[in-house]
Amino acid sequence: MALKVYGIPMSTCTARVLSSIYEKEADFQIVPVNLQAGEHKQPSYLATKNPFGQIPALEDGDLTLFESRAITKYVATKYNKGTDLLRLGNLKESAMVGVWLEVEAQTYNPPISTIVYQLVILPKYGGTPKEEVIKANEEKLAKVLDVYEERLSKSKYLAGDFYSLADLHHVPYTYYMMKTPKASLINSRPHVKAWWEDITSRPAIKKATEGMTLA
Amino acid sequence: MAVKVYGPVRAACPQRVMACLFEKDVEFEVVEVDLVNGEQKRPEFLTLQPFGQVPVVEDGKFRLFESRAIIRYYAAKYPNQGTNLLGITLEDRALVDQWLEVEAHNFNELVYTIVLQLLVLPRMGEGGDMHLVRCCEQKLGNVLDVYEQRLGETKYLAGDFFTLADLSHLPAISLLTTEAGMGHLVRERGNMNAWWEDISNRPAWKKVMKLMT
Repeated sequence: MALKVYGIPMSTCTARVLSSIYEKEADFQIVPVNLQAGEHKQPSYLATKNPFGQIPALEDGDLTLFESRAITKYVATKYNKGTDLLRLGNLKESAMVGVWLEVEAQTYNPPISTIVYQLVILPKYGGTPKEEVIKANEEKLAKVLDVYEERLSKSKYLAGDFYSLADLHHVPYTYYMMKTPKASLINSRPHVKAWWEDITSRPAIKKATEGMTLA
Repeated sequence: MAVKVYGPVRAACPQRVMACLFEKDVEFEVVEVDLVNGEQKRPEFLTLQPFGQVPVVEDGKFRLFESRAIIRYYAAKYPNQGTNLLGITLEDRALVDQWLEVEAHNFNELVYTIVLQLLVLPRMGEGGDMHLVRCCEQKLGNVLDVYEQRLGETKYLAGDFFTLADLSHLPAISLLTTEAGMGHLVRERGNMNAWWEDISNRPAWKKVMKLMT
């Protein structure tokens, strides 16, 4: 039975989940959620899909999950086909994947999601970007990317010389940022740029980013 | 050889790791890091943790950072030693991951902002933004309403057994209910209050608290 993904392909967190499903060659269907109409805040959605009123959510038979980074882990663990995203056969490798999954979530995501919100999402809904907010987050992200540049000069991918879920988690927000002038943050760092070009050339990632039409 | 945990015992993220190590009966020693004087930003420390943050763990030659990655590692490394913090089935594990993500993305930033504005900045001689504190408190109340509902359905966050998902909340809720003076957020919610009484009285967490004395 196919997985059901509640969300929309152009949403970053939905795209994160879809990327993992494509990498694992699993069957799924998208159940669109009408954000404009506030469907994700309706009592039935809160009660049956995600009590925090967010997308995406996943249904796999009796199991319902929310939080994209928990869903991707579930998909990566459940299915044996496709890419080995978590390196579960090697405790130390999977620990390194764990480290860089956390770095993405705790350190990379806050500034980049703010930049993307300001430059891509806000204008789509008639809002005006705030220069001071963009500048402050650009500075933070630059410092983080300096660490990444150093890391990726020693290691082909973030967790080691193997592509993993840690690299995948970075794709959605970075993809949208690359459509803005802040693409220079990636392009000015040769190892980060090479890594970005490598991971976005993967067939699974190409499929997921095809649906990311917000920018 | 004991595991080394770099970080002050008073800091939340090292406490998250220490709670897990106590639960898993893993011996460790603490190597204090002087955050007040910026030791974590010095070149020698940056070779341990390139983002200049605590904790870092050294287990023989193996080094890890990011507290939530460290607790996942030890919970997986010792499945049959100490408390089972991950559940049994793939579905159990997925629910543990789900509530760990909720802690990281829906809960943590609000508490972090409250603690920064209410406790950390004033201690450094800078004014805290009380308006921001009130905003975060309100948002946190809404998040905790979801927790309250969940804890009316299950005894712990991921199910009817204590897991990493509950453990991950210990340092922040401890701070909130003591120094930050926001115990009412927990006390006013019956299920949350019972859950908090339960998890904060676990021997492992009491051992972490004892380290601070």
